[in-house]
Amino acid sequence: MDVTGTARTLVGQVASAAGRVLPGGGTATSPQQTLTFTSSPTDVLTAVRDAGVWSQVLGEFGAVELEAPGRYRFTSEHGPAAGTPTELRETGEVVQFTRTEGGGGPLVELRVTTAPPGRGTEVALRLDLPLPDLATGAATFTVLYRLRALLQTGEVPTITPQPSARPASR
Amino acid sequence: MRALVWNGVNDLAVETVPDARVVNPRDVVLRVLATTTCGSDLHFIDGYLPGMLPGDVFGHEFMGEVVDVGPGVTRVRVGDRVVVPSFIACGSCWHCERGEFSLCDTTNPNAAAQQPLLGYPSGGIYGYTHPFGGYAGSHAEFVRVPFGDVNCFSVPEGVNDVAALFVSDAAPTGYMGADFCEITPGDTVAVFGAGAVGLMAAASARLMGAERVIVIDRLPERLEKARTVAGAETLDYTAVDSVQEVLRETTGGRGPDAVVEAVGMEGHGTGVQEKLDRAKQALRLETDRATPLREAILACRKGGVVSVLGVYGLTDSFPMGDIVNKGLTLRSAQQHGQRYVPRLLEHVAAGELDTAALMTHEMPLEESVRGYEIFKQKEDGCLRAVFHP
Ligand SMILES: NC(=O)c1ccc[n+]([C@@H]2O[C@H](COP(=O)([O-])OP(=O)(O)OC[C@H]3O[C@@H](n4cnc5c(N)ncnc54)[C@H](O)[C@@H]3O)[C@@H](O)[C@H]2O)c1
Ligand SMILES: [Zn+2]
Ligand SMILES: [Zn+2]
Repeated sequence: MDVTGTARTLVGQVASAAGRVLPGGGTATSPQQTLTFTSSPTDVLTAVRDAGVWSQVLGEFGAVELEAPGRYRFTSEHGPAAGTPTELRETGEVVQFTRTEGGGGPLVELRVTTAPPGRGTEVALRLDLPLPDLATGAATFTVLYRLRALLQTGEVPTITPQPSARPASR
Repeated sequence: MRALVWNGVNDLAVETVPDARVVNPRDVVLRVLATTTCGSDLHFIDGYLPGMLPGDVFGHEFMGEVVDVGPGVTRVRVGDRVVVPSFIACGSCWHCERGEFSLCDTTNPNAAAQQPLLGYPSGGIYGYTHPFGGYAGSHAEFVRVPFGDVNCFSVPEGVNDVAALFVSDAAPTGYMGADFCEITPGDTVAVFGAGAVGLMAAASARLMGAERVIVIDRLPERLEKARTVAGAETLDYTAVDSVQEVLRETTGGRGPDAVVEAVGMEGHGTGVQEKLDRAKQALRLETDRATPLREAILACRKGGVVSVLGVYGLTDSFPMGDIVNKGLTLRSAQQHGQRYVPRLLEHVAAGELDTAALMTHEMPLEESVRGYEIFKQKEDGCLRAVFHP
């Protein structure tokens, strides 16, 4: 395995972790987050073709609509009003949602590989969504964590809504 | 509904908040019958542990009656009287499958906030800081329990609400701490701290066959409980020059086979290191006053087990050399309650474990602010204050 490559990625991750807002179509490499799922690679690949799954795991970060077979439109409060049209490209273990307008790198990239025996499936995610408020690294982690939870339990963990004595929740 | 909320450091109030309700399909909602204080709450009440938001409903040790179930719930039914472990488990992730329920991979909605600290986030917990999920807690009339089928355990008829209550947190934590000690016949187990957790660790060590259990604290009423509830010998650390020496002498120079640390970051101590810890804690240079943790490591025999239940942040002067040179095994975890609750309920039902003895104060939820004050100051012999919403 290419440990140097991993190390370089990690360094890149740390460097880009804090409060970065990527403009749509940015050329910088988005931070990568990786988690291991108990699900099979096939289950992961099937799930990520489903626009509804993306809407569920993106949550407050955006939504996805299937426009035509292989064509997905990502929308986000902070992105262009019409959203970002993308095309699904699958090559072996890599799944990309690439922009069909305006060029730039993929909006979403997922790498799905089999983990060592008994460990499930390693899933690496990069997001290039316009995200204020939160570091892209943290948002990417949240989305990936939710995807794993959804696949393994059928639910995305949430505390919204829930009781508190904060004005907003009254 | 009425609920006890954290509004800031040492600023608690009972207020009216929206009712808890089913959010996800596998949720259940309980009407809380009994909920109690825990030493872990003191860490954020005192402000040593960051991550609470003003208005948060807290509390994580509770039992109650099921009043609503989501469409995905199959086993639990409305009307069931249940006890719930403080950490939320999904029952189906890699860690849950291995019985490491507090390490659940899927129940922390704020996992991204915890990842920079731990690298790998823990499961969620009720009524605690936001890096631990930020779920609303149990000091309220109602509480939402995710994955109800995994986290709700039916209370047998002969076990009353208060006895069942402590099977939520204090008892499984203590039991796990004793389990980590891998007790074999003839073993001596020392337990630092005679709070509810330490007492349950001591009683569990007896249940698991320890020959001798020695509980160390300074509060006479707690040491008394250690003798009556856990059948332990006791040691007042303020009455001796060196706890380590006493433990070594009383074990024939061998030292205790295992030592459980059940105190945590607000530990008391004496001498220079204590003064240094207090100063550093005040300046936020370290979060812990770790005297009991250090003593547990120093006191343990060669090749023994140190089982750490107390909650710590950043600890200075950690005697790593002792761990290496004495070949110690250090074990620790947030409690994996779901692993132990069924057998604990059996022990309680059979009269082998007196969990109800942990309650020293009982009051309506409306008086819980005072309950926490008494618990924090350990006034009036307070070990655990129990609230009934
Ligand atoms: N691991 C878990 O899952 C888990 C669960 C519950 C509680 N906890 C932690 O366990 C610890 C104990 O909880 P508790 O509710 O029993 O707390 P508590 O505050 O009621 O009890 C702590 C006891 O330690 C004693 N103590 C202080 N300094 C001491 C010293 N130097 N030597 C011996 N005893 C000393 C105190 O007098 C007190 O009786 C806390 O840190 C809590 O956060 C952990
Ligand atoms: Zn607790
Ligand atoms: Zn789990």
